[in-house]
Amino acid sequence: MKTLSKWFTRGTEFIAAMALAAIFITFLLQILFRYVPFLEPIGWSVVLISLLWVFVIFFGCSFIVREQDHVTFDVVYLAAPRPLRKILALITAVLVVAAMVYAFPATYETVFANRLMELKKIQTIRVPITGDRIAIKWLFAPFVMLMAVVTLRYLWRIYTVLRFGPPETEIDMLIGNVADDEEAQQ
Amino acid sequence: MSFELIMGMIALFGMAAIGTPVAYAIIVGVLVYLGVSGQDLAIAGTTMVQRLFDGFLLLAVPLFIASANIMNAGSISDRLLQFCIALVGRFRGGMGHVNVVASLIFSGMSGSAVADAAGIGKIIIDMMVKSGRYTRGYAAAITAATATIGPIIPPSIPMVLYALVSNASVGDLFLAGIVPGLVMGVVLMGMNSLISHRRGFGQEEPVPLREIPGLTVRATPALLMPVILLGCIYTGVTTPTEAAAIAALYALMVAAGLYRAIKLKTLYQIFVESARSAASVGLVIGASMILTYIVIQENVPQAISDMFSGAEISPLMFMILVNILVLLLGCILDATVIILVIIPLFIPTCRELGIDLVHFGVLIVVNSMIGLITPPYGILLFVINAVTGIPLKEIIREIWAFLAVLIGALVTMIMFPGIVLWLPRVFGYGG
Repeated sequence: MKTLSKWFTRGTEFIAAMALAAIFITFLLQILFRYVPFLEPIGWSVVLISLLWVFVIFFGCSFIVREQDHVTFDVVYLAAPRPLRKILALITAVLVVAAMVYAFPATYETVFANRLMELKKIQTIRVPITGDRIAIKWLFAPFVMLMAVVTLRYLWRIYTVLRFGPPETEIDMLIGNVADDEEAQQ
Repeated sequence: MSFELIMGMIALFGMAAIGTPVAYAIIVGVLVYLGVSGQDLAIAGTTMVQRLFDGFLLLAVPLFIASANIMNAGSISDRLLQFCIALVGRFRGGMGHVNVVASLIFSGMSGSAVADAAGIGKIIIDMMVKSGRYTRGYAAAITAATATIGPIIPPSIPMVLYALVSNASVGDLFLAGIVPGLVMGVVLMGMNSLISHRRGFGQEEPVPLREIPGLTVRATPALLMPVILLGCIYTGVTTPTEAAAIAALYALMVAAGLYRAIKLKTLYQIFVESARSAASVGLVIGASMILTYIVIQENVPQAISDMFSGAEISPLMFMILVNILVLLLGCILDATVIILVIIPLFIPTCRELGIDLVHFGVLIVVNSMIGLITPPYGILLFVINAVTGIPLKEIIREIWAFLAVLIGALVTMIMFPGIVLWLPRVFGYGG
């Protein structure tokens, strides 16, 4: 189970890093093709880059962004005593889960059960080899995935908070360490 | 303000206050708004995706993050430090000056204050503390203060975000940041001199003058980054976003080719870390964009504009009020959120009052960077505390003097727009 989750993390990190690298390389190709003689400027690069960017954000937040990597205003949380923290962490998790479950059906329907999303294609880029155009629903799909993954992640968080107590933030742990050091010095 | 907007805001601020990641708090707040007003809930997701997809300018963000990470990973910082020590180490309070100059140079390579503080900042703090001439609180405080220069001198992620919400040109904003960045450097060096003389901090062993040209040559490739970036944008060779890709490529070439500082494995790790930060920043950006969409739907910016024009307020008074507000918000909010959510509220009023949007933008970015070192909630203070283990208490005790001169510099920039606008005007900015 541990090895499985390790390989899963490695795999998702690899996918996100490659998507970012692809954005970078496509940008360079776009500039190159514009200036090198005999090469035609490429038209598909802008759309491909934007598509990958949307993917990196939602895929990344689903799988490789850890809880402590998020931008968080945690002054109140850090100042709260431990029992209160447990309640705050639970409120956060329950509300996030509730909001996601509340909005999921409508969002899923709009993206996957809508004929327009199927019929409308993303402009200028095609799948290599088959030459098919990509339905616009795939642009939105990573967001739907994020909603599902966030729901699961916060359900898991409810379980761990109830079982093991409130999670510590990164800063929290460091401040804790420093405080320990100071005590040790005195 | 409608009832549904108030409900949404209560959800948003309530959750953000208790420690929910800001992006999720915004999404939940928006869903509450949509739910109460009976609109389609899917709007939240589809609008967010659509805006991120259309906001091509935003792609500079992951690229600047990547180039900052590349620059911080290599041994480039060592070479730059030697160069800075040779240049200003000989004066009293030498390492403090080195700190400022190194930040000025480093800010030309990365667009992120946090990256500067965690990267080169940590190295300088260690050197300062080891030399035994400075208290660790002082070393940490001056490092935090100088790191705020990072996003003022191009490249700059906050300026790109501001360009997106204000439609001001990225090129003009980048140019407009250069002189204010230097001004901030000068006032910090002045304060460092003052304190060093008073407390008798020593100077470094002077590096012989004949070694300076050699050290300069060795540091030159790293010094050229902002020149290349602005060159690409201003000659029209590339768009601002493409220039960010060129910047990342240049960082890679300098690190891998000239300085031989990066291995393939490190490079992979850099891309993983960059993807991680790009995703978390991207989500905040996306969430801020749906929030802005709703706030505009509710006509809030127009209402604010009407309120100010009704009060017959002068442009200067308006600038001062907004800056005080941003300074206060900066103590508790993230710079990204301030620029993407709060600032759009005031853009129509700026237009109405005839305030120059480039001037305004630079002031806001300087201001929100000062917010990064303002206690109680200054991200830079936390980052330095995290990477060095120096207690927050000691850092905060020493930060006030630097905070004061930086705010002084900000006030001067408000009073004299020429400091900000001179350079872009030289290059043909019409404002």
